[in-house]
Amino acid sequence: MTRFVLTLALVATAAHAEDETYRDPASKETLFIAGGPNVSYASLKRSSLRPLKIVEHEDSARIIKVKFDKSPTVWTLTIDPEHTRVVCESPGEPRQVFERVKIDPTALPGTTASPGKFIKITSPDDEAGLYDPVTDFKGEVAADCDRIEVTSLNAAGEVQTKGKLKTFTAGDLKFSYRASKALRNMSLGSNRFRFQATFKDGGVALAEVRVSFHEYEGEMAKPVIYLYPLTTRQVSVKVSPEGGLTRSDPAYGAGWNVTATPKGSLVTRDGHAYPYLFWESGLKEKPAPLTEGFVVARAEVKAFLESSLKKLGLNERETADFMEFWLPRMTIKPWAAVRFIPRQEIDRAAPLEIKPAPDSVIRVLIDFRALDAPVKLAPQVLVPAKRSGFTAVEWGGLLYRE
Amino acid sequence: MRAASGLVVLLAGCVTTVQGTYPGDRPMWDGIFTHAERIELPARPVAVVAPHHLIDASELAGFWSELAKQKPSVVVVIGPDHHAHGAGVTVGQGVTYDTVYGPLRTDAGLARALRSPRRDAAFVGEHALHVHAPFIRRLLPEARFVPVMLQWAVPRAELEALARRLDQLLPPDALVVASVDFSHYQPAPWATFHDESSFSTVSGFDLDALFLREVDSPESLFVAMRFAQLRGAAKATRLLHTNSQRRRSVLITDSTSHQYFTFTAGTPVPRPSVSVAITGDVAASTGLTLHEGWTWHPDHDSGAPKYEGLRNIRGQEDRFFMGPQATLFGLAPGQQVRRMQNGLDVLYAAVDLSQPVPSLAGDCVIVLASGGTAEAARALLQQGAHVVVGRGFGPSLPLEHLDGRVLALSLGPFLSGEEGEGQVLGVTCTKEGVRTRTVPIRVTKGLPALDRERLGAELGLPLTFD
Repeated sequence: MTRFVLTLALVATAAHAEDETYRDPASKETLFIAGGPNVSYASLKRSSLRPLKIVEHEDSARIIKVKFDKSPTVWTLTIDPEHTRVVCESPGEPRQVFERVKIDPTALPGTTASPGKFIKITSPDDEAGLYDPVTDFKGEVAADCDRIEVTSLNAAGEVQTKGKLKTFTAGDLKFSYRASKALRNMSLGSNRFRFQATFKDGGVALAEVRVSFHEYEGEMAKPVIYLYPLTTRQVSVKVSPEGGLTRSDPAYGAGWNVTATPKGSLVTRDGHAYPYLFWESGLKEKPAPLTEGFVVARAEVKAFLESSLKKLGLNERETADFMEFWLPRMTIKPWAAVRFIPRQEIDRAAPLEIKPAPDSVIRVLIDFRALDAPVKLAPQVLVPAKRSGFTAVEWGGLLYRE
Repeated sequence: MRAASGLVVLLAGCVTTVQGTYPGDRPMWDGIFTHAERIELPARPVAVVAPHHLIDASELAGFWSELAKQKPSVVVVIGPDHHAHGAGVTVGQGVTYDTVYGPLRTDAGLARALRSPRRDAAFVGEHALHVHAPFIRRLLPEARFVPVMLQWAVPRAELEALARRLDQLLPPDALVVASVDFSHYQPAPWATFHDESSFSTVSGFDLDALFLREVDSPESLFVAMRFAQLRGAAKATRLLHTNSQRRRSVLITDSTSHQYFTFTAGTPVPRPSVSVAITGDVAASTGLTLHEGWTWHPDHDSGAPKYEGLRNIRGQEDRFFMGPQATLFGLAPGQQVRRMQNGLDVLYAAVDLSQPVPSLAGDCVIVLASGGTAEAARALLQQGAHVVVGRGFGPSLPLEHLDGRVLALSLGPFLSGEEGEGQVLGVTCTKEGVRTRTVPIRVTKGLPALDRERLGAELGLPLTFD
């Protein structure tokens, strides 16, 4: 019995019946003791279980000496013969008594809440297929829940997002959690969501669902807009592409209205934070053949884009976002021909109106072709852009018939 | 980043490995099979049509599960070369699809025998093909597999040659799959209207007309159907008809439709019908009249009307009016146009209700009526007309159905100089009666455009997430 789960390896097995959870009724601190022995600790403030280092143990593990990884202090835990309480002592530290808490043996590993303290997801169902770009998870939680934390993981088990559910207020019996690609907490394919409720007595209840997000690609052009005001403020953004808007995220409505922060967080009226505003438009005509631009060998595309985007005013984060989307598409053949569409063409094709008006607006839009062999293009001169004051940045590119 | 696809080319020897845009997660794929739709095949198919959007994953799982029961020894999947990365006809020779059920490898010998330039890297990122890979790998692990990509507007002779080579090379139990989606970028009711004509064209095995229908790869459809035809399997059966709207909880105006067909031994079973899109009032000064065969082409002028006032209604890739046999904006006073379309004798007629009514004979008689009363317009349905659309009757009015015939007394303004609410009517005439679909539009500053608010209300769908 050496299982102990701290990391979010979401193993869908219940806690072992012999695992024991003890809680200090005064401080709400929790000890989780499993065979081995293994001991973990959680506080009311930090309710995820942290493993403690075993210094030594004796008497069939009824006396266990433990310490935190980076602390010299050694704590002696003495478990009474009936396994109903643990006395925790250390020289110079106040003595603590932890009392045994009964845990639902079917609960997920990591659960320290007593039966009756629950959290559950009412929709979507476990194993559901999701087809909307935005999905609201709904759930219920027992009374006295202090907070809920949500972790989303992608198909590879990598954490996509992790954080406190801001729309939940202590004492609420229901909650809602939004997931979407734009919020970066849901990816195409399989996703897992773990909801962790921490109760006022320090107990933790867990629920998780796995869903599959299905989507087809049909995008034609994919600009995103970042806003960096000097102070946090309301900003309205309107974009009017010739082809009309075919998609947007968050929802465009009659235009976006967000609270933008100097660090670039964009919060909609419903409280959801987005890293950028996404819009998409259709192309009515095939773009003209490239006659000017850059022809770059596959091995050089990454460096070329990094230096070009820097010259054009994009910062590291924006460049990384750009590269994540475009680099794989631009390197499928030995060569890539790239044209940075001049600003006046962009403004004409997709007028952008931002209120209050930024001090600097950077718009980068590329048109590219993947090539088997290099072609000759008239050289293009990139006009360096500077960021100053309230800055708005947009990048995107053209994708053809999908 | 958005839709970052995780597509990777791993060059190992001469093999191009294609990893799908969907993360290779076994539970997700097992779940797809668990929720597979139950589909029954009418007979052993020689070729089939299936979509390449995983929004239809459970339907695809059901379809492939049934196809696998036939145990084809060879599976050839033909789909569009969306990104035009290949040649006109590109056959994957050293392509391996990396799926959660293991690698799905191309049968190199068979692929080479199809004689196309080798462009294996072009298959990376082509969802029309990799979407099917996990189904084939799980259900038909022993089958020999060949992926084929076809670009838009490959010359017909090349398509014919490919179909013939497939017929010569493939064993009798081979299966050819056209990975094709149908109507694109339209609200669901209008997509269904588009699909009326493509359903009829496929059922009738009218291979020439495929290129005038709303299909994302008529080339792929042509090759699969021609191959089936060469093998005496010209009986088309539509097993499923789906639209991406049905799994979305908010209105989408860029839905895609999917039709699942099998081609089995037998002769075509024609479904004579004519689909016509009819707009509201249009001023004669626009020059817009009856337009037949509205097509879009990425490389050249398709001949579709360029009238500026249409720019907001044309939609992405000019597809709004694409697909039906004709679009009727207007006719000159007293004008009559008679056509044989898809097996029906069709008459388009402009009737002045203040004058004696001309002869209205035909399998499908579509009348633009003006200059009289509603009663006079309605009476035309008793005088041979199947569809009567009033002109100059003011604001848009609900349709009236009478014994399989339709009166649209007013579709409201379109390009008449008037502003406000209107609708575009899609009619499909058959020998059994007329089917209709409408989409609401609004004319603002002289430009008709889809009216999302009214459409959402009609369909009971919100426009956005809260």
